[in-house]
Amino acid sequence: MRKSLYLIGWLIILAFFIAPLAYLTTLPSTSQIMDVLKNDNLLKSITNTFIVSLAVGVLCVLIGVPLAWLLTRTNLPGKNRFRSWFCLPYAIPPYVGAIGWIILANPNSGVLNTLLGLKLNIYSFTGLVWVETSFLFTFVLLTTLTALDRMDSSLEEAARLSGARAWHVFRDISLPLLRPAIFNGFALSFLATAASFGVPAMIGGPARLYLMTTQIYTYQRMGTTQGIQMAVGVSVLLMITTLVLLLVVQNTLGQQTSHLVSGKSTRPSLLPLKGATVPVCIGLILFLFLIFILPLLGLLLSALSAVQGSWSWHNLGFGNFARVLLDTEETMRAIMNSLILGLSASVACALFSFFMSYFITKTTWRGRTLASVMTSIPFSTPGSVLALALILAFSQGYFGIGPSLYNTLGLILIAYIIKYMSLSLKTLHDGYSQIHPSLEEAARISGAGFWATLRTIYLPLLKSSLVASAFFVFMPVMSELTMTILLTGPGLETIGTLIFWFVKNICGLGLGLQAFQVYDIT
Amino acid sequence: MELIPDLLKKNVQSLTMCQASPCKNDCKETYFLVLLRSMKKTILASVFVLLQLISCTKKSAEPTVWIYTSLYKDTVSDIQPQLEKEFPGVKFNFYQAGSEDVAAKVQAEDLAGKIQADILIFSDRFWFEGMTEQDKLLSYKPTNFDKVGTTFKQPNGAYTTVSFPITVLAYNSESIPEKDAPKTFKELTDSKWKGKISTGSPLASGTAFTSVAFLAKSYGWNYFKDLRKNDLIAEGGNSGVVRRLQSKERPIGIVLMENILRLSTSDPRIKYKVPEDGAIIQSNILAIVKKDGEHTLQKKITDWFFSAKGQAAMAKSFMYPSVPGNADPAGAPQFALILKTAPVWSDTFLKETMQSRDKIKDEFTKIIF
Repeated sequence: MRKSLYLIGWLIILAFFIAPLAYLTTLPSTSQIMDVLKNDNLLKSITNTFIVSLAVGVLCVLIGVPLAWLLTRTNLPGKNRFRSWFCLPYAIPPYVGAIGWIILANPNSGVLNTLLGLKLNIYSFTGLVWVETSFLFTFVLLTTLTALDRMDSSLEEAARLSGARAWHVFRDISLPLLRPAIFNGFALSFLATAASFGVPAMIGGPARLYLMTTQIYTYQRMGTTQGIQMAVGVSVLLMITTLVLLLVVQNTLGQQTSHLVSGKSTRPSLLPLKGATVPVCIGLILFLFLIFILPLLGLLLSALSAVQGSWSWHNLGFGNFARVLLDTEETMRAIMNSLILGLSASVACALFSFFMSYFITKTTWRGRTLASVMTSIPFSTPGSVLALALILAFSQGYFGIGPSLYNTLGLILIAYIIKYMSLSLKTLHDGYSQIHPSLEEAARISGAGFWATLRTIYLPLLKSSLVASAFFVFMPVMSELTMTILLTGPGLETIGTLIFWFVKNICGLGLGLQAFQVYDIT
Repeated sequence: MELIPDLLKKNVQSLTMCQASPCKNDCKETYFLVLLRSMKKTILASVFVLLQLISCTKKSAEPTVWIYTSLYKDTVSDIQPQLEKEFPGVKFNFYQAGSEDVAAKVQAEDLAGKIQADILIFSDRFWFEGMTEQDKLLSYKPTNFDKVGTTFKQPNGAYTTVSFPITVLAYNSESIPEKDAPKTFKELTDSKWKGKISTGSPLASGTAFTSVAFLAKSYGWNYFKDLRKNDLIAEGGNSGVVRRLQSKERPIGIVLMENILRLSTSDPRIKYKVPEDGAIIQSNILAIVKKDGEHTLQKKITDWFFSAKGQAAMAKSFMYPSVPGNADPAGAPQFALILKTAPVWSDTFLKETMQSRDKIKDEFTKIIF
């Protein structure tokens, strides 16, 4: 029973995650790939991608880990509220934040520069890393938070009782235990940066920072078969690089050597912040303001302005919102479609991950690690390439068999599930690996079968992981555009495509949705 | 169909409700059952959705025509009812996206074995030239074909320009008074415009590519080196340029005239000039995809686009009609004047650029990035 489920899981991975992309890679010839490799621009873009992603990844850890610790291990007032606030940035697509920052801090007319006389330049390496980090640190934060929540704090207490100071406890006890979670978070933010397109295009473009995704986009935009093949060539390169990285992380630093959850229930004793409470609170609020509220304010200013670029009170109004919400019958359909897609994708991902992660973490069957790595390939593949692969695989039935899903919500749903499964799988993977096998053994000894173990042991313990995984998938799906724009058809509007068309139709329309200018090509 | 969203909603509600409530031991049982049940329902529901959607697309017996286009949505909502009236019983499906997305979609469909699109309307002439070489387009000379200028169509009728967008110089009159605004593309290299200019990226936008190709031919690559010294921003498509114009981030832009005309009521601060060294004429192309069997309907629809009605729709969308004798778009200078100064789409230019597309993009990347 268990084995056949595992096999079904593998079949799904092979058929949906691997086959379309693998087919795509057979298209370019070796000489074409060599041509791609010899290109100077590409080498530069590889270095840039690596440096930017590394910087973002490291910065995300530096922000995410201390934050997670503050939110779980201290007596900080209003911890739960802070928690949900700090997860908010994840709910907003990074390119929207990029627009906010461009409004605030572009060197010529940035609001902060003109109003406060600052000399900020968002079009720079720092700017790019900052914007990516301010959204992606949530990956590290969420993985670390979940781990800290589950961690058996008696270990920490033992250290504290033996006289260790808070910092030593963190360094010698918590940090080693958290290592897998931190590295998974790091890998996610690294990959997300390497595969991101919107922010590098909008901020990296003017800063003249040329990344691999920009290069892929260039080739793809040539519109020729050869262009597609070159794009695939670079994508394969990107995939291989990320695969190697993932495998290394998974097999070394990300390996869970100790279990955080065992049968004994614990409640962490909280470290009193004492005199530091007020400064820490203020610091956190300031930080939140800086990473989240400030760019949103920039967007709001733009959204409320009837005339872009002239910021005055009489110019503000809700006309732009009214236009979006009232002027079209399609708005409702788009919201409905996006909700259906978002809910189905997050439920499907959570379900699949719930079973697959069990096999990956709790069995010694062959090919476990490979399965988890394979599901992350689509995540590190640029959306436009993935969409092409899916069109190739599905436009005439599945490789010529069965009914065609082309121009249906079905194919868009499949695209979302494939692209974001990795997020869900990693969350559940973390969750499972923290649970001590003694719990399952206890269930087994008491006569529980596979299903009963899942139901009585893992499901209750993994509740928060399941919810987190659904959240991880739901959010990006709601505003996805890169894949959707290629897969959409009549009546298949989503929130993403709708916004895209608004921006094309009414250029002056605010809401910061000019974000989509990247895709505007006439 | 109505049922499905409700079904899904209920499932998710029950899921979240149980998660939110403090689960006691007895709750765990039901929690799992709920999950199982919701799983079953979700799968059933999604299968149902898929079946519905598939059957929706398969059921229609009426002839269906797929038009893939980069025309704006308001233009399509203007054209679609007219077409439906003209061709009763025909179902018109529009796929709208940026030129490059349309091209990519068609390319992928082609690689998969069958192009679904029947008629293509978008502005990347070089792409259509390539498709002609691969014999993917139907040779057909629509009504008024002879009236369209010889340099704006494929001689055998594999593709024909249906309208002309033009690339001009735009500026924000709040930052730069009209008398000071740049008058030529050439003078943008003047150091007084340092940090003031933006344009679309030829890597991302077909019209920006055409502009770069023409400007590089007229002024050489040194022109772009000088622009680089002036800190030119080349990024995204045309509406990115407009955004930077409006926010005064870059008060001068190389952009399509139609983008500026669309703004004439909502943001009159943004103005444009037809450069004295010639606006760049873009070609918005119409072509029929070659398929098995007759193309009678596709041909008739193509004829419509070159008729007075179709051409008027193009002018309404702020592009110049390609068939002379139709009115120019409101607020635009006469097309005859544009033609006088604009660089010519000669046969040699087309062929040379076709061959050096990658080189042009590479060279541009090296200079600007």
